[in-house]
Amino acid sequence: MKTQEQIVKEYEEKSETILRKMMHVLIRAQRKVDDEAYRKVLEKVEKGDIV
Amino acid sequence: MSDAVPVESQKSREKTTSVPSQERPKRTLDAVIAAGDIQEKAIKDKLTAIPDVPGVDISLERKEIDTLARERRELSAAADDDLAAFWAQTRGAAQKDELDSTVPTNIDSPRTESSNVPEVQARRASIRRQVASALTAMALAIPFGVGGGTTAFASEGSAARPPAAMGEGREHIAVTDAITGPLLEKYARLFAADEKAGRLVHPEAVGVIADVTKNLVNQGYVLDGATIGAQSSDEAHKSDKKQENAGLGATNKENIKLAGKRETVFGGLLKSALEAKGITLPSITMTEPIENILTDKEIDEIKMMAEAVGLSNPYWLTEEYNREEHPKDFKPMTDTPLPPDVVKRLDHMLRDERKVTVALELHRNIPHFEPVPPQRKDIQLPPALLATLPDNPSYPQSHYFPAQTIRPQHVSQPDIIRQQPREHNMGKDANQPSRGGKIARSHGGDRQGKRVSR
Repeated sequence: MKTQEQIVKEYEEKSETILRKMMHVLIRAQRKVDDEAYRKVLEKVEKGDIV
Repeated sequence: MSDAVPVESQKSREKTTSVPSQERPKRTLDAVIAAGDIQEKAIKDKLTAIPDVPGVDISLERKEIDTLARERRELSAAADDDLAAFWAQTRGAAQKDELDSTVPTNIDSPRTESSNVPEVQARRASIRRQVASALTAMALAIPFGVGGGTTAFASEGSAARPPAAMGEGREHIAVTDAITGPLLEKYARLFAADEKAGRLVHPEAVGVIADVTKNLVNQGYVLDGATIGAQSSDEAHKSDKKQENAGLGATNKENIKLAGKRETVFGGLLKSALEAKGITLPSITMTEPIENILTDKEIDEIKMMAEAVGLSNPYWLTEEYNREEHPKDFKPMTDTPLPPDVVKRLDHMLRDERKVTVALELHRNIPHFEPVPPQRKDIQLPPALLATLPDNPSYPQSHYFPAQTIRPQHVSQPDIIRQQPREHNMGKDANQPSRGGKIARSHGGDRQGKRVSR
């Protein structure tokens, strides 16, 4: 039988792992959008819209 | 290039506001779950806030986060059940000892496990919802800065303390907050000496923190003190060697001083806001101010953007950005304003790293669990509990024992709260959230903060 301390500790570790994964997914999504925005800036530069 | 919620930088920031882990009392499951819920909600909110961009599909990420959230919910439920089983067994053993000496053996069996009683489950769920919703509300109630702040809460229960036979225990809670982009000065020309340094774009941010604190004080918490930290990011254009390249990899002591001034100014504002609500702030601890320097990757990006907008020296771009409010003696580097896309990137790389963090520490006293010596006593169970007992004439009501330890001096309420500290909350409204959630995960850039002692 696990103690309260063990239960909380195990839960916290697993929960943090999941939350960390969620953060990584969030970062990946944000990067996709940012990369696209950056690509558009470069596109404008290439077209000469931004001098 | 973006790094909306970098894990690395969170660690460094936590160091500035958190109590060292070995000194923390252990947290209770509800507090940990509530804390995780807040983090999860923050992540979901950030994901929702990502705009739809043509040609970019993030549906996969959305699904992935939903799946992970489901996984976490299942994990929480499993932990909850484990804990309920633990307490049921613990209490069962204790009560069995008592009963063995006074009651016939057949009295043991009708004891109903509290976690199976609908009323208990509903009440637990209600308490958890209230705690989570109170904390979430606090987390969401602070719309700091243009870039949006990140809010986190830490709650630390007193479960780790050895239970005293008599007297009171102490429940600690810490409310922490990271305020991003609240600063009025995009560029404080005289840095720490500038009268604008440290002013807030949204002064109401301090008021919201004071409101949250006031609510906690009304719930019986006592404010112990506050810890304030601040950081600056590339606001000086000259390095320590007087070269005009500060921010692009070079450090500047003025930036440290500016962060230090932010701490001081914010500390004063916080103290005043709390005093206005009748709360005394006993102490303010200032952490070492931090200068965040740009990463190599970010410097490369700035160089490219500078070239794109026609600036031959990349530092002029940050200079141009920093001088958005353009002091009278400042002559813009370019005749045209910076393109919005460039400003957006610089907002993320520079503005969002200029921030103040605050951690309020509070405590309140709670009665300790007091084991009662074995005794036989008739207890009138509440109807909901009675309804769950087996309809068996061999269990006369006079022999019924409630699922939890009898506490003659505290029998005014059914004792249905699962975790140990909660059990000690006799005498207060059981529907009131008894503790907060944890959390201290701030979101920001991934730069390495450079700490320099003042």
